Amino acid sequence: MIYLDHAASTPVVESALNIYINSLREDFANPSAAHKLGKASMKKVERARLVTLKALKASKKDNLIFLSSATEANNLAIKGLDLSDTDRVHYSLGDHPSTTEPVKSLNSQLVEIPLLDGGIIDEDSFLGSLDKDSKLVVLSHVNNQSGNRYDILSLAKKAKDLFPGIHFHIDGVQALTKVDINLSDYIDSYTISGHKIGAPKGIGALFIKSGVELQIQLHGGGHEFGLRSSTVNTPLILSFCEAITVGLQDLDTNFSKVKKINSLIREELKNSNLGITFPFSLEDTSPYILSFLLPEISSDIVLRHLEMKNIFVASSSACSSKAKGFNAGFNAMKIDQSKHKFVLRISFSKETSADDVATFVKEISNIIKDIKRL
Amino acid sequence: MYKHLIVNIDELWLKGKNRKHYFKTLREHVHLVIKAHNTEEKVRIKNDQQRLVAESETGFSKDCINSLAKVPGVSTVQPAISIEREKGLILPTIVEKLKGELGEKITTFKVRCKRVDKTFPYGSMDLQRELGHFLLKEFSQLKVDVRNPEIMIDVKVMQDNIFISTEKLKATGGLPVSSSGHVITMISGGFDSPVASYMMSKRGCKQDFIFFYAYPYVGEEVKEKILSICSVLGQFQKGCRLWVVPFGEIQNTIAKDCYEEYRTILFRKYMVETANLLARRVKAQAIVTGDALGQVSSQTMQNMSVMDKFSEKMILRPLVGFNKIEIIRLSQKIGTHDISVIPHDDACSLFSPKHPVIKADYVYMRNYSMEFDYTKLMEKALDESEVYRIDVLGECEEVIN
Repeated sequence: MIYLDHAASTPVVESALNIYINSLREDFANPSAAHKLGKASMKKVERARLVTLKALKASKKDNLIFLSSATEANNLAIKGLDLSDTDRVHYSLGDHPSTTEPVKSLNSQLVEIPLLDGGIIDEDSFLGSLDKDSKLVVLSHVNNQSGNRYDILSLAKKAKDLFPGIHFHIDGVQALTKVDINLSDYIDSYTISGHKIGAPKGIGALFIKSGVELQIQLHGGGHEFGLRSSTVNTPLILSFCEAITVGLQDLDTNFSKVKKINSLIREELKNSNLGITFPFSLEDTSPYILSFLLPEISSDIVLRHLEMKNIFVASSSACSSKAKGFNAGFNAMKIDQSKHKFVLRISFSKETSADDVATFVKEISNIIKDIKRL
Repeated sequence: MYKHLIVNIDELWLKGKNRKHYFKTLREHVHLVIKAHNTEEKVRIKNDQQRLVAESETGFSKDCINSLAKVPGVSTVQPAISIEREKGLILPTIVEKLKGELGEKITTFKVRCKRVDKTFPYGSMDLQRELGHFLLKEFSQLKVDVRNPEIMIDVKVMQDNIFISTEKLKATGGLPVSSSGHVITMISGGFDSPVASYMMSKRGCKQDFIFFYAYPYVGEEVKEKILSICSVLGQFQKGCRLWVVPFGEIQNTIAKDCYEEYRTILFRKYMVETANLLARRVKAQAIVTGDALGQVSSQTMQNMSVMDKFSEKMILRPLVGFNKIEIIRLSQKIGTHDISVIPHDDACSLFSPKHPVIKADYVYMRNYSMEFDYTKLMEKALDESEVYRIDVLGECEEVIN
């Protein structure tokens, strides 16, 4: 099997799985309980919280709460700011629905972050669109479909130089363990998710800069500093923390390795003269995500041909693949609507090998040639 | 809930010596449907001249009545109240029933009495008159309308009891399933073939559905769509099957070997031939398609007649003279319309020639078949089919070999 859909979900890392299983067995007590079993469990959670904050290069004074998913984290951050209807919220329609949909649910004034060809941000227009009523900017660190990697720190700094009160919420799901994350300054809240980096599904976290106040969305027993009531899930938290720790080892080396692989695929597919085009440049994207346009062949068809060869890819983001033909994200990235269904996305892990890639290139070339012959 | 249902039978008057068999077949079907709804009890079904009478302790739900209205061969279903054979009980029962049913909108009525058992000492006409008279007195809002009443009060005097009912559901009618043969129905995701299936259910055909699944050119969602359609069609059947035949490889092979303009008609030819192979396996007598004359290129007179030459079994085309709008209306009536409109991948659009042949050359197609023999491929595809069993309520379950 060649799995090239890591941006959708990932296999669980062995050590994270072991920690999960052991913790399921051992840490059964409620971490909020007054007895020593509960306290021991909570201690592990607190340690994991600190490790995670450190991994994000955040300060110990900052907060990080564990929750069930990135969607929950984005909802909490976006809705929790309790914005008024005159406040302006800047967001990108190119981003994942777990940010765009909560934004659309607000009564505030919504302003689109302008994108240029290739999915990059039109920085001047964006900065020009800010004013004193701008209260929130929502953006992904790495776009889940195009792979576009945004310089969030520079962008936040420039915006805050103009209007210091703006809250920057970043969805970092595709960035964690893939690109460098530094939350020591400028970023006010940041979302991460477990199952995209080798932890089980059902765990995510929201970084909250010290001083930021959020309105509670889930009322109950007051867990996670009162911000997210629900019994604390020690096994998932520990497993998540382990996956982060493992994922951050050799980040730069892995980045270079995957970049080489990405570059190789681009080159070989270009050389095979199949008519494949690359709307998003390697320089502007995370090397872990590569989306390209097939030559007038529906990517669903190619996806199924590949799955017959035991190769797994994505025809568009798993969350939007049901709505055929139109993809709001690609639309925002200036890709003509008639071409949305031709977009195929492959996404890698640090384990993706040159052999995997060679097989993929060979198979997809054969498939396209076969279909084109019709 | 009603505890009695009168199931009236269609076209029974046309039958002669086969009447008994016909009755039995329908009764079995009615029994299966009732059993599927009333799982907790044994419901009694009595033969009563031109009708079946079902009696339940717990009562028949609206869903059960609607399911029965789909059974081919049933002309109407009447939920009824049963009372003792006493004239004095009739009026109070009707009055009580009407009190619950008459809204402000209903202003006209008619009473219709029928003595199935003529030993009842009061004549039907007299009873009708008398009941009508008292009802007019009781309900000041009501007027009699013998032609177009808003509510029809039906009184049936039977041998042991009297049935009173105010509702009569029009059912599918036609002939009981299995009374006129076994067919293979070629199903696609469009409007036509499901309606064709319904037409043949109505004429008493037992069906095996066949769907040609062009994976990997189309995805799982198409199969799900076909299952949903067959789930609706299965409610007009007495238990049936769906064969999902993997056909992508065959289509790809044909597309490469033939003239481009012949692709569509050759796909069709091999589909018909595969349906014939299935017909042999399950001992079916004919193939059913949703063809309507001239609708698309493969449905021209010439192309249909060429297709007939390649089919060992007779091809039945119940929609041949239908206009598209008539087909769509029927699909709305039977409940497949809203599934058929869901957009889906169509393998044919990928393979479809720019100018499909409308007057196919039989000789070319025959020579093609001799040069490329796909019989083994077709047999293999049938062997590898996913088979689903569909019960009278339309529940689909995969048959695991």
